Amino acid sequence: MKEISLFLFCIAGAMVSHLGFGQSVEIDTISSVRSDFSGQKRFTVGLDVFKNVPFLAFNNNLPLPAGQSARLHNRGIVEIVLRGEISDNFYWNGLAGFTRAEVTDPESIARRQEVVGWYGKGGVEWALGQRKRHSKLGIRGMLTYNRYATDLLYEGPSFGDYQTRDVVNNFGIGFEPYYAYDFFLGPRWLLRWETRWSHHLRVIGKGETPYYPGVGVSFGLYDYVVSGGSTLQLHYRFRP
Amino acid sequence: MKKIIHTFFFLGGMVSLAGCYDCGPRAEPTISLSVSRNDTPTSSLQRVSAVGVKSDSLFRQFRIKGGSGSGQLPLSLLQDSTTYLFYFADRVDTLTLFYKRIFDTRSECGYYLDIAEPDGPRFHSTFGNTTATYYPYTGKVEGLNGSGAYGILVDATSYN
Repeated sequence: MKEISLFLFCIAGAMVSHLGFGQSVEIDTISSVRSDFSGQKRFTVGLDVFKNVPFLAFNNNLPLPAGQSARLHNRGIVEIVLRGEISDNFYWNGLAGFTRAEVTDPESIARRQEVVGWYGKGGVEWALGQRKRHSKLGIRGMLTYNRYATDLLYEGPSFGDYQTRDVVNNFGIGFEPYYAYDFFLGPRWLLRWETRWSHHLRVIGKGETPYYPGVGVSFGLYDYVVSGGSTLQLHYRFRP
Repeated sequence: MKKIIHTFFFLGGMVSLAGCYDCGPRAEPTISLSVSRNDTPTSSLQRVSAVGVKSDSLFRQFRIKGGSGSGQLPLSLLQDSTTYLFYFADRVDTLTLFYKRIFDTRSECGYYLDIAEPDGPRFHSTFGNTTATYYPYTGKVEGLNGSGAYGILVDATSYN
């Protein structure tokens, strides 16, 4: 019962934190079910099952903390996560993600922005505690690429408006510490609630990126972006 | 922990410093222009316009007194030059101002607009004596206030 209420609390927490920020969820069927297959390295594959949910609740029109009129539309995120055991209480973790989104802001020069981004993350995590080991603490490095296409409008009441489309390819690196809580749904399935704090530095590229794929909502920041997020991942454990 | 707190304040300081940046106009910029005809008898300036104008509301605000006038006139964002027309009682004088449009992005402003001095000639003018001075439209607020000038200043005088 305690676990169910904690689970509901986590979902609520993920919902709330996700509205403003960014990203992902993971599951660990690995640690709780270590009674079977003992002595063998365990391996799970997970899929983010939450990031697109709060967006639907906002009817595809999520206000951004950018100004009165900035909105995020048509955002879709796909993230696949792999986890494997390195040694007792110590795991590796890899993530591949794709995000597309649109940002509109009729009161700004950048009226409409389309972004498509790919990113990869990888790192390690440690199980906390002695017994059930639901909690994990980890850190990942990341490499990101995204392409921002921005429709610009400079108003010209006397001579006519100047309109142009600015396309920028951005490359960056970053790291994110994260905390994960794993719900063991059975010998094969695991639901992971993960909360991360991402730091990202754009190495190549320019321009404002109200939403940075792989990082999250980043309005007001420029080359160095910090964002957080909470999400859920459903993992399936393959036979070792 | 102390380091984290210092970093936090450092980043906060950076943000507040960035707030002192003038990001310039978000739409069509204006220039400060004064024209005069000092010939005798002075022919009066009747109206001011420009080639390709869609709305002349700003031109109607140009202050005219006899054969001279002064005020702010808009700059076209559609090309790197704007040709102004000065309708005097006896003839039309023209002034074509050249410039370089800058549409770019910077960390303090995001997308912004600025106007710079052209690589070639600054103007073509039928006025006998014309000067054009270019000051940036964007920059640190201290710098902009320090120079005491903003944007493009044009002075055109005819003596014939």
